[in-house]
Amino acid sequence: MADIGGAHAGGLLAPPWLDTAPWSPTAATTARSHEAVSSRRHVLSFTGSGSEYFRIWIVNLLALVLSAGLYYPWARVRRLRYFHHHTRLDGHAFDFRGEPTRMLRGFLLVWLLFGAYNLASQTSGVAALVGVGAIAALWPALWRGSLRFRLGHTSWRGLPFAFEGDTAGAYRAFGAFAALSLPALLLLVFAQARPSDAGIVLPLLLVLALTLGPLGWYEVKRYQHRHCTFADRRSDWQARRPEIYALFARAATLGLVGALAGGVLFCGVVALVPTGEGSGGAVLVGLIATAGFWLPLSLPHAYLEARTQNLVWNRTVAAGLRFDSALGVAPLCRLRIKNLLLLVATLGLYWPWAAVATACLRLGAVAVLSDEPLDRLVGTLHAAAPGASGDAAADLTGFDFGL
Amino acid sequence: MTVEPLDVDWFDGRHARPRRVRLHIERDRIQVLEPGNGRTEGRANGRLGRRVVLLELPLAAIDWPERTRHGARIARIVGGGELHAVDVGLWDAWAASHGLRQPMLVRVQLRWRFVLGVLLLLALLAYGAWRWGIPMAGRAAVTLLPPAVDRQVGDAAYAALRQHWLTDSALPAARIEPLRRALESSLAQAEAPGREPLQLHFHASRLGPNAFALPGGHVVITDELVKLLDGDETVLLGVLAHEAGHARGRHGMRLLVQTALLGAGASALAGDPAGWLATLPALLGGAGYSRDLEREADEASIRVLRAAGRDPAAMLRLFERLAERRAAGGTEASASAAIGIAFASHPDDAERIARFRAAAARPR
Repeated sequence: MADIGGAHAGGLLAPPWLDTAPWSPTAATTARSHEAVSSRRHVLSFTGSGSEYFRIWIVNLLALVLSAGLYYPWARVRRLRYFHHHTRLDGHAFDFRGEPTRMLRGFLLVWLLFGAYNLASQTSGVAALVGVGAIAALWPALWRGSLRFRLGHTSWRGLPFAFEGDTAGAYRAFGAFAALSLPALLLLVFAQARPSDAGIVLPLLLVLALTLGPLGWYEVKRYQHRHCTFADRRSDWQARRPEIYALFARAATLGLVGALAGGVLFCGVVALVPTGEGSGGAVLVGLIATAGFWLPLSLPHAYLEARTQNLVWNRTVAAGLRFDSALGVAPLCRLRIKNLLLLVATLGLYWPWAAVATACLRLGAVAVLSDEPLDRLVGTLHAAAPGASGDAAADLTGFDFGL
Repeated sequence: MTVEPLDVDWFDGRHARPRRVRLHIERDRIQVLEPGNGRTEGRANGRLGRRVVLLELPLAAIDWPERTRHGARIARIVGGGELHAVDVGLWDAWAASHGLRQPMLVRVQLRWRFVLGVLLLLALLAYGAWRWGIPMAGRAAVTLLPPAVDRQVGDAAYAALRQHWLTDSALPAARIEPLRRALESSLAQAEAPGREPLQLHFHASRLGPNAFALPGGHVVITDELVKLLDGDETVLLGVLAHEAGHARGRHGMRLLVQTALLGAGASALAGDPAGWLATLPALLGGAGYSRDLEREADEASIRVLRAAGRDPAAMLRLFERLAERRAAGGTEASASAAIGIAFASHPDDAERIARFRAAAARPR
């Protein structure tokens, strides 16, 4: 054993108890000694660096430009692998096994779908409506496909995750959102037809969103977090509806206050800062005013983000496994404000640093609690690789399903 | 040269428990060996010792990871299982000594010097697309677009303006008709025969002194502008010819196409950081396109004025009047003067004055 220990002395990557191979003659004793260490909390950590991610981003951008966008799946895989390889749990990083060539087909399919929709929507309003309807009708299936693809290609310690929700379940999960959007659509049509009575539409839309919105979110998250599997464990989600309504009600109140403050700041900047000559000055003032509008909204945004993350993970369980997410609103809010200011100051070039810092904070707030050592987990055999088109759809629309 | 075998953690794809193993590459095959029974002892006795081979695979069955500063090294075994580096430095050195080269893009991204070069290249590409690529695409798109689309867009825009901003003209027909005839006859002299006639609209308006062109050949001029210029026929003809230039060049549609392309490009390049930040380059770049089209329309105005035997320098009076109005009227006037023929997306007055003055000085 000594030479192995020596070979990686000072290696920061493996926890000390991994120094011994479990099947070696001394495995019995070491296995017992690390059990005590292992069966506690395992905090997730993120070790990525902004400057390195910046370089990946820039190189990906060039490849995307030169390939007229066809490089997209490769760029995506490289980005995902960067984040997975820097996310550690109990000494080992996650991996993403998706293959760009497979994802290219899905990407092209989705690109064609949205391209056809765009073309149709420019020729006639009816075609646009049909297109929106078709995409809405396909969305749950695409979304489920995306979940299957993402989880099915994520692994930790060589064991793949999987998503086992079925298509019918995905459509049921979007039931509340469908129930929300249909009357909302009718209200909008009504407002268009009778502009004189449009004043009543906005409060009705708000009521609709506040009554059905949290339920829709609950249904979607429940579907998502009840069907994940890892090794031989399957996840369950035990959140209750009232706590979700309470969370969204608090977030909505904060959001209202934030929007008011933002409006005041926006108008204040426009009124007080001299515009100066030329359109350049006007654009600068507009930019500062926009930043002023978003600044107070950082708090409700951070509140919603932190509290939903905590609620989602603290209510997720699997046999012998639980999660503990303690993401604070204040640190996240500070980070958001800092990111916003630096993004504006660097004209967006700060973005990779912002993304890395956000991942670091959000992932670092999560711990896995296990009753037994994590390396006791034994996987079931590989499932067939799920299709990739759902994943591309999710990415095109900026829907993020990750933690 | 013999290369030391590398100690790594092997996960078999079934168990979450790592197994410390040694990797040994022999030509195009890779062996996963039991630790402690490897080459190290073998070399010491001058021949290989007993090796327990846990797994033997072709090298192509392994998907090697990219090199990063702090990241893990996880090699994927095709069909299941992972090899994790125990010491990243040793892993990288070992991989390099076996000729496992990083892809070209990774080698670029590992060096700041190259990355800065890439950044510069991207900036040049973006500039080129903005300066030449998108305007060319705009021109091409407009030639492919059937004029019926222009008319549809223009009719809808005119109807909307008519509803909210424009009322019937209070000018007597005696002032309107000579202008209409002057425009028609000078356009007929300046243009090839057989062009579709423009639809010239006179309106009283809340927009103040103004003139503008809409897609589909609509040209609108407000009573307020006619009054501001005291009915000066040459200047009004110049203004109308400028708008006719927009209409003939289908500038409205070109601007639509170009700003759409610019917006798409900007959000593709900068869409990741923040959606609204991507609107900034689109806004600035779009104003640039608009100024280019204004210059084209001014040239068209000069052509028409000269074809009609009038002096392009007469247009200087327009800028004088607008400047007087700005000086006298305070914010209200300057705000309304900022739309239409003198909107902020126009070139500087000084530049435009110089163009008309130079045109007047040019020999015929």
